[in-house]
Amino acid sequence: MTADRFQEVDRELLADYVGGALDGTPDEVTVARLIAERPSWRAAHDELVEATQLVQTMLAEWGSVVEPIPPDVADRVHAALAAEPLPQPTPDPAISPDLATVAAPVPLAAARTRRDRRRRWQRYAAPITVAAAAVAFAGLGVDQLLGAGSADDASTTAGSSSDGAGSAESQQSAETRQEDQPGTMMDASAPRLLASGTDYQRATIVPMFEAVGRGGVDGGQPAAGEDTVLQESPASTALARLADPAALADCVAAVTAEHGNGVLGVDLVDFAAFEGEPALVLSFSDSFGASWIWVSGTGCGTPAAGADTRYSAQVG
Amino acid sequence: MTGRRADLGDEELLRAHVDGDPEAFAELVRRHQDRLWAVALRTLSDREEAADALQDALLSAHRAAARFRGDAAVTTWLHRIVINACLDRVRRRKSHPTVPLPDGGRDDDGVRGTEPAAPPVDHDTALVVRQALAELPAEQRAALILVDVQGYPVADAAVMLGVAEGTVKSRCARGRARLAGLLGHLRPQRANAQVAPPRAQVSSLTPRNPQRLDDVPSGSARGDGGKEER
Repeated sequence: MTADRFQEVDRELLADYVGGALDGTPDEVTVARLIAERPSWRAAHDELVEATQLVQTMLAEWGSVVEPIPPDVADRVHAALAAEPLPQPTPDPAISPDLATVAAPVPLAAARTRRDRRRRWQRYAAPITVAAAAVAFAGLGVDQLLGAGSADDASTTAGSSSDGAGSAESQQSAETRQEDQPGTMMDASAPRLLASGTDYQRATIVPMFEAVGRGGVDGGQPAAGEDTVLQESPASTALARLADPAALADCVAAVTAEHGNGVLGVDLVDFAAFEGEPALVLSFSDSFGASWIWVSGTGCGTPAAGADTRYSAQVG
Repeated sequence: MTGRRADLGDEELLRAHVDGDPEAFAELVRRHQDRLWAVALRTLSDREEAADALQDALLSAHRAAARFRGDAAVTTWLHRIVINACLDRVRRRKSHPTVPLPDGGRDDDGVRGTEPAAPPVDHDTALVVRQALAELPAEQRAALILVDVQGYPVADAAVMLGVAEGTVKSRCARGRARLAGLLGHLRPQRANAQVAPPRAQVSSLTPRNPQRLDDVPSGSARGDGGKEER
């Protein structure tokens, strides 16, 4: 950035400077010099400082007014909460930052385990462990989608930690938790993986996806035959890359980055289509409790495409 | 148990809720409901909308409690969910605009301009501040309400809004500058003055200070998020 660009006062830049948003950046020095050297900038700066102080005073005065919740609103909220069923008690009652490691990385037997992929696993370990477990758990669905695996393989590898997809510590953590709470990883934390073949439409994706998800719940883990919808279809070919756990992990990491609301708890991944194009449809909750449906294209997780987002909506 | 619950910390109450204590979450809500309500009401400026948003948010928190990871304080987490619910409602209004009401109606953000939001220290001041805030982009308004109105530290507001601290500072700074123009604390720019040309045209004026928002910086080619990436 050069001062030559600032023949005119950039009011937003000046506001950022006054508000401290430029602190420690090169722009802070640039703006300070402009204020010192250019009368127009200096006048605008002095005026803005005084004006924003007045604004802050007015806002603080307004905020000093206590705003208690009206009794009728409080009653209504508490009645709604009382009618809500309690959450299912978790086997591990600890509310801790490492809750996500319940679904620690578990490799697929068929997964490629090149060193570079391993490094990516480790780099994104926190946000993607859930997705990794999903692939491991529902690996038979993906493997059969690709024609490269079996239910036996998947169930075997889901319980194995011989391959180094994650750190030894996280593997040990997962194994310990699995021993202590049988079924925890699969039943409570691992997202489900489907290949429904559904062509979701923008206007109806929310109820459609919920219906597909309910079908998955009712039917439990997808059976071998359930994946035939996508087999040999254009969608299956286009999405084959994302059936690789490392690629899927990169995709979830890209979605996490674009979403920006903390670590994702992925509930369901559907290898499907969106408005006629092959697409990965995910449902997840962010770390602050909001639930989302997210649609990513076939480039999801690649450096060029990022999350390759086609659609997203908060659903709860 | 009630007395014992009152002695528990927020995180302990949330854990008790996850463990099946049927009263723990209600106790947690009672502790924070006034502040959460104030944030919702001041963000939406509509009593019924605020009540709906607060209820939706608390139900969401009730269901998602097991996912709380302790990365932030429980109250920050609750605020985050309430703010998200409010901003989501603002965005939905934009995509599904309502028919303006005869008494002043809704602006682009759907904020009603005439409904009292709070018993003001000075009615005129409160009315003017609220109307001016309603002119701001929702993200700037939310940041200002958290930091300048409710008095939360920038770091806490950043967590509540899910953005970087620098982004909160930028949103607050630009929001204050806009408000300064709306509230008449900045001189209108002369037509031939050496200032960057305004981008947006904003129609509504505050009753006391008939200075237009486009008299002050209202965006540039960088847009609102330009400095937010720092």
